Amino acid sequence: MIEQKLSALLCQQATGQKIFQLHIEAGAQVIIEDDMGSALQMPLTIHLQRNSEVIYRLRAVNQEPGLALLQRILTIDLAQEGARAQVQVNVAARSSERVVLKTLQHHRAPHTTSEMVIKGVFLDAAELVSDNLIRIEPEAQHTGAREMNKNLILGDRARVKSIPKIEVEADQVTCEHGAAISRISEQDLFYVQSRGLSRELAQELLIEAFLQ
Amino acid sequence: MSKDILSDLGTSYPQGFSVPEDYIYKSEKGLNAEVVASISARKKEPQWMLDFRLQALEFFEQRPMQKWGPDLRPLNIQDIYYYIKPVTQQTRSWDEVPDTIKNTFDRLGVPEAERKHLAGMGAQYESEVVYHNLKEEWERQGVVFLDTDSGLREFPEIFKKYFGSVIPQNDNKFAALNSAVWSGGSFVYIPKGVKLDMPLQTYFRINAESMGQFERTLIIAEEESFVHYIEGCTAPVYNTNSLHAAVVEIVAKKGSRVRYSTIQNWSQDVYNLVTKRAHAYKNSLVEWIDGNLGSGVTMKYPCVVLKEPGARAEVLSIAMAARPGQIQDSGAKAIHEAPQTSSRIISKSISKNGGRCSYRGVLKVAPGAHGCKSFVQCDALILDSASKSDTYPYIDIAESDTDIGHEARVSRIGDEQLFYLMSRGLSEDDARAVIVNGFIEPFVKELPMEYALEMNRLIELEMEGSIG
Repeated sequence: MIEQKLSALLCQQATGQKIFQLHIEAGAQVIIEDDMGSALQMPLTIHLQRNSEVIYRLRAVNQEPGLALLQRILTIDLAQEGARAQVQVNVAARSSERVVLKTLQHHRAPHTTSEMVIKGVFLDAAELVSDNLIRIEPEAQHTGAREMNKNLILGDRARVKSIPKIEVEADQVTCEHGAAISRISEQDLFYVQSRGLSRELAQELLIEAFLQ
Repeated sequence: MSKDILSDLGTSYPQGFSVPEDYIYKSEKGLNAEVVASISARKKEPQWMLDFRLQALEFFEQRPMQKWGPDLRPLNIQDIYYYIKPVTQQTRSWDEVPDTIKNTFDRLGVPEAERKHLAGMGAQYESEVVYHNLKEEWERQGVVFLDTDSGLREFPEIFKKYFGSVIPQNDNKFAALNSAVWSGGSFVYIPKGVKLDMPLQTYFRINAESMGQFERTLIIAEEESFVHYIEGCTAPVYNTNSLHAAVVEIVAKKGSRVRYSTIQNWSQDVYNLVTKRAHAYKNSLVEWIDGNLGSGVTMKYPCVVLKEPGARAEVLSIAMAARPGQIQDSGAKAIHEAPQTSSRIISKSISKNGGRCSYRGVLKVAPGAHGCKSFVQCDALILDSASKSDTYPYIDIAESDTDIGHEARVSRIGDEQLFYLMSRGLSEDDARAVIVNGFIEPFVKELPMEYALEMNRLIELEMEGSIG
């Protein structure tokens, strides 16, 4: 598998575009490391050709201070047979940062699979809006699609809005999604603290583990 | 069983027949302030109710049609009769009911024995409750189970206090319509500490062509009371669009429990657009058990607002869209306004033969509502390539001390499951029916036996002929 940084891939695109488009050629296997942070505001669409595979990772855990908004409008277009995609988003936000994730797993061809896992930690008054759609067209038979959104809310004024949507028009598919929102479990905190760590350090450790 | 007999079983409607219209009064088609005023005048309502209706009519006319959800444009609001009154007065015993109306219920299969066993029974026939029979012992306990018109007449203070308090006139376009032209429905009042061990039930029926049905139900459960209310409906087959825009309000006071069960089996031209909501107070429990099998388009999202600590909500919903173009757009809403509240929503849907099921839900936890727990599970079965399924859950959490889980799964019947059952000697049709019945089992086991049997039978009928 080839590993690429997203910033390197996008700087090759023509200027003046409204949407960034990446085409993964037939049979190619690419890992894309999204290192663009808050610099990427425009939508990004990744088109997957026959039997290609992409693993897309976004890790936005230590934002630059004063960040107001981290936004990703990401479409995974499984355009041809055998395409596979895995998206992993880990994000932590604090003070009054806003994270907006609008994603689409679009299955347009048979025998395609996609998996999207979004994990977030929200402290202080940070906010998440996560609008995630899985759409399976009638010709995309034998598709497997999965979307998972797990969040820890740790701030008293933090807020999470999660809208995991599914539209399925083919019958020979499996499609699942899940969302979970909670605090750090007191039991876990107690366990780590009982090993001699302070509560703050215990919390940091557990957040780090959550975001693995 | 041969395939040709079965191939039209899923499409014919056994309750599809009509009775020659034997009405005392039928309003003109269409909706305007005169029609609304004449409805109020015929019922001899107090001034405040007339004002309420007219204000609601204004809201209805001002509000645009919503932009989300199924397409409601084929519904022609002006092409409907808004009020039909079949008999001149309410009767108390079965013998006094006119023969044509009695026949309707006999043909629907409401047996004599069942009537005796159940606590009370109201039957709505064209916007008017025809028959009510309340058991004396519960009347002694102070339980009230009347049609809504009588509730307004006989208990004006309680009625006025709660009517419109859970669903205000301007809540949405079809609640506004109902608030303007409501007729019939139930008024239920359970006094403090009274726990009814037998359910209260009603039947509804749309008969005349282009008839709209706008029943309005208000259930008030005082502290520590319990009631199980069952609503099940049928309608004959007609070609023009029929509209059913009902409103159900439930007030569950401290420590009370209200369980509201519905099996909706309207015929295929009905638009079933319902607003149902409960306010749950301290340590109360509200359960919506919602079965949607019929109608052309259903939009229904039972809601519980958890207003005080300890309140709980359970919604168990199933939807089946088994005809081309049929849409079941249903779901549930749980609004956590207070700390230490919990909710559980289980929604199951089955699409076949070009039908479409959508789950639309809201799970909201307000700031300050700490210690809440909620779990939502929506599963969908798609049985063939012509059918569709959607899920649109909105999860909005503004409080850190919560525990929220949501999962959804869309799939078809697994080949291994089918193979396993067929290797035990079942035909493919029977194997599918068994699997589908297993899929909806969490819902069916909450229904009283007569309903569970009807439900299983209806599912089996729909499942037969599901290949090809």
